[in-house]
Amino acid sequence: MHAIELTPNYYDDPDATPPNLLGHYAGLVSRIIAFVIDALIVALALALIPWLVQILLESIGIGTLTTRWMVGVERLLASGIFAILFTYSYYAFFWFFAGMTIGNAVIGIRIIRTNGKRVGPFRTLLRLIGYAIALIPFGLGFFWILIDDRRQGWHDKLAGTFAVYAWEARPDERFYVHRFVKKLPMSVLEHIKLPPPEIDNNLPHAKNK
Amino acid sequence: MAIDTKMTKKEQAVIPAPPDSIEDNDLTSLTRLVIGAADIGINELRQRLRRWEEEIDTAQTKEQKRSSQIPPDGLAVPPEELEPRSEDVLRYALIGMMFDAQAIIKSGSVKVVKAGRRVKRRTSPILRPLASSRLLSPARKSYKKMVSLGQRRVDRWIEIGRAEETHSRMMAETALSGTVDETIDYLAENPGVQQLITSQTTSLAEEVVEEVRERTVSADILLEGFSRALFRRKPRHALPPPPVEAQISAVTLRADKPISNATIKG
Repeated sequence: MHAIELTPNYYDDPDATPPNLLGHYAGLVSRIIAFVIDALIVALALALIPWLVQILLESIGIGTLTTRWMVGVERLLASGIFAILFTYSYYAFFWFFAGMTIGNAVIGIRIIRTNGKRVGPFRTLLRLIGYAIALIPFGLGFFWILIDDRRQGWHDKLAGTFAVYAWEARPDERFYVHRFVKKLPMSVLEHIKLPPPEIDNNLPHAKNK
Repeated sequence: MAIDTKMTKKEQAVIPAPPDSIEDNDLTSLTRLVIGAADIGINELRQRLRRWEEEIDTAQTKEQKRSSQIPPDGLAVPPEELEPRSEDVLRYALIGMMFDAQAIIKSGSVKVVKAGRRVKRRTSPILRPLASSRLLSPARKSYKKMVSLGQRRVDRWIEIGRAEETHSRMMAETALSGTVDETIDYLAENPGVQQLITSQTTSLAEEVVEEVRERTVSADILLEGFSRALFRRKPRHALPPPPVEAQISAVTLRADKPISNATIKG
C-alpha cells in the first residue's frame, strides 16, 4: 500500500483540497451523532409501538384482556425485555443487511468487521454489550476512540469491528480553518495539524480521485 | 313574474319570457360567467381597496407621530427638498386633475339633477292645463301605455337581474374553483413539475446532509486534536490506513466470502 500524492495540509494551505477520508476510521463526533439519531429512533419506536399495539388489540376486543394480567413488576419486566429485543433487532437488522443503521446512514459511516465482512447477529450482541461496558466508567470506553490509533471504542474492540466513513469525507476547511483553527493557541494547533492520511491508490474508489 | 292578464297580445309578445324560462345556451352561460366574474372581482377589489386605504392611513398616522417627535433642529427635511422640481410639477398637476375631476363631476351631476327638478317645478303649473286638455287625450293615453310597458320591462329586468346575479356568481365561483382544482391536478400529474419539485427537494436535503457530514468530520479531527493536546500525547502525524478489506467494504458492503486480489486491483 503506497500513498498517493495529495495536496498539502489545509492548515498550511487553506485553499488546498482537504484529503478524502473515504474508507478511513470515523471519529468520535460523527459516531456520537449517529448514535444519538439511532437512540431517538429507537426511543420513538418504543414509545409508539405499545400504544399502536394497544389500539389494535382494543379494536379487536382483547385490549383489556392483555393488559389485565400484565401489571406492576410483570409489566415492567415485559416492557424491558421488549425494549432490549427491539433495540437488538434494530441494530442487528441494519448492521447485517446494510452495514449501517439509519443514524449511521445520515452521518455516512459504516460498521464492519476488522476483516471487512459484515457484522452478524453475534457481533451485534457483543457490540451492544460493549456499549454497556464502555458506558460504565463514565463513558471512558467511548472516549477511547479519541486516543486509539484505529479510532476503536471498547465496544469495537470487544466485537472486532471498525466504524469507517462510507462517503467521500472531506473536512469542511472553511468551517474548520476559519472558525476555529486560527483562533487556537499554537500548542493546540500543533496537535490539530494533521497531515493527509495514506490512501491506497489501487483501491477502486481511490482511482477516480 | 306574473304578467298582467289585462295586457294585450301585442304587449305579451313584446315582453320576453320570465326568468325561469330563459334558455340555457352557451351565450347565456358565457354572459353569466362574465357577470359573475365581474361581480366577484369588483367585490374583491373593493374589499382590498378599503383594506389598503386603512393600511396606508395607519402607516401615515405612525409616520406623522414619528416625525412630530423629531426635534426641529434634528433630522428635519431641508427646506430645498420640500420644493418640487420643475419636471415633477406637470406630473403633480395631471394627478391632481384626475382627482379633482372626480369631485367636479360628482358636484356637477348633483347640480344638474337639482336644476332639472327646479325646471320641472316651475314649468309644471304652466303646462298642466295643456297636458290635461281633451285635445291631447289620445296622445296622453299612448304615453301612459308606453310608460306602463316600460315600467313592466324594467321590473322584469330587475327580477331577471336578481335571479341571474346569484346564478352568475355561483357559476363564476364554480368555474374559479374548478379551474384552480384542474390546475393543481395538472401540476400534480405533470411529470415535469413532479420531477422539478422532487429534484429541488432532494438536492436541498442532500446539501443539508452533506453540510452536516462535513462539519462532523471536521469536528472529529478537531476534538481528537484537543484531546491529544489535553493528555499531552504526541501529535498524530498520519491517520493509519485501515485494512484494504475495510476500505472496500466502506464503499460496498462485502459478502461473506474471501477477498481476491483482482477485487483490490479493480
